[in-house]
Amino acid sequence: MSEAAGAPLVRLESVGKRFDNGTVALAGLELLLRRGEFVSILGPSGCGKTTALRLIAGLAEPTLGRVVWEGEAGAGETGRDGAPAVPLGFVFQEPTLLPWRTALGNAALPLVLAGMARPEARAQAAAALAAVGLAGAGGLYPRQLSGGMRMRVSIARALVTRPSLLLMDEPFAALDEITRERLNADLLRLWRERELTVGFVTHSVYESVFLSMRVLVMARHPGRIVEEVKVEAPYPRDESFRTSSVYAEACRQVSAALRRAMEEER
Amino acid sequence: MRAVLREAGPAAILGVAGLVLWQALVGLFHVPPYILPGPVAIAVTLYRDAGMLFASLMVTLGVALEALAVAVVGGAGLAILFAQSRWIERGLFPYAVILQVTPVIAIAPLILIYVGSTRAALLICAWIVAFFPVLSNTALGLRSVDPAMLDLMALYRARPGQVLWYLRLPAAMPYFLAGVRIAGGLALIGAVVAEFAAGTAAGGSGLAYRILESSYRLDIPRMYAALFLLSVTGVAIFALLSLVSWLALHRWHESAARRDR
Repeated sequence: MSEAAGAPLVRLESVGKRFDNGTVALAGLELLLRRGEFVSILGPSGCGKTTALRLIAGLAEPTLGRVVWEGEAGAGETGRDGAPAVPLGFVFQEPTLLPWRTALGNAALPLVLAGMARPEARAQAAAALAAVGLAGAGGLYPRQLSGGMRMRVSIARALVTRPSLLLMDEPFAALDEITRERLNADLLRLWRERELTVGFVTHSVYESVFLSMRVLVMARHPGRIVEEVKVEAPYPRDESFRTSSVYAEACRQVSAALRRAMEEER
Repeated sequence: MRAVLREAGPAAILGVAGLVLWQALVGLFHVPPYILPGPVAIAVTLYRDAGMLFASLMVTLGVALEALAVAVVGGAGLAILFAQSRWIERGLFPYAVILQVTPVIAIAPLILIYVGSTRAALLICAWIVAFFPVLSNTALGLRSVDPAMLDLMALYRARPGQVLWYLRLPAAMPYFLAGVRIAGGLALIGAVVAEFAAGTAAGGSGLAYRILESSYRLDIPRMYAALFLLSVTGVAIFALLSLVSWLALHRWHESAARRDR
């Protein structure tokens, strides 16, 4: 995979979002995801980063501006009734597994909902579980899995439909440091193997720098992107990247940008 | 085995001690059986009248189980209907509450007058008492779905029927089964209460009728024997429904979880 940014995939154009209770979550948000990119959205809690992700996924509608899908679906064409124009996977903050379905049953759910025959769906779900390192755990129920394993099942479920865009909403926030670093490495491997485009929401500076090509820093009240930091380090990135000077410098830049974003809201 | 002893031991010891004390006191003070029979006298009556009492028990149990079945199907069905439309729920739920809070013993005479068949009247009474916990529990369960799960369903474009089948119904299962366990006991109570209301006039032959009949004849041991059978039946219904609940939930739900490996 080339590390140069590819063709535009989806664009948020001066998007605003006001909730029914009057809260303005986003205002004048401009965001572009290119094919094959790994982009992190970083900001303090309540800055609307989750909302931005939900708008792209079609789980919410913008009150102002629009979401524009580009490329194969026809340049400039917006997905019908706000629905995304490309196959898309979404990983929620919590694993959001159905407790009465096994790991395999959970991973197969998107295919079953799409009407795929059960044996075929189970075979593909088993392959997705194997891809996230859970080859032997298909028969276990969520309550029998550790937090990290549950999140892996959740990622397998997001990948089972072979999406080209993967949106992740603080997926590793609740995990311990070691588990999180392992999942970061596995996520980068999956991103490269499957030529995914990833939009990754986090509140961890270090995670965003380790994973991304670009880090978009958001401010609150109203939520908007205030700065962009490019992480000029080649992939594959392994654990040695965490001790490199490029990593340290990027972390310093992102932290400074985040501090400025926090100051701006006063 | 040790766990069973630890669970049931105290109650068993207290029960046996109570029975021994009861028998001893009755014997010591020469209490006549038409005032208070001892456990032995009750057991003898139970054995002697077994044929008649069991036949009566089957009548009462039949009414209770049929009412329970209708309550489970009707309560769950109505709850699913409520989940489809807020309007239907707002329209019907208050009447379900009214039906529930009005004492069945007060409605029973009216039902017995209006409904020609006594058995049908008994069924209706038992059903009125039993269906509400199934309805309210299932309705609550169908609504208690994690919003993130609904997002998940929306993301994969699940149709309303799929959301019901894959998400709402399984999520409501523990609530529904808890409601059924309560309804099992209530159906028996409803059947007995309705039999009392029907009284001898209905020509009934259930256990409540036996208790009533025995009380007219001051056959206190038989009253106790019938009472004993009713309690055992209630416990058996509860135990059976608990088992069904465990079988349905133990693999995934915390309430019925076995120890982790």
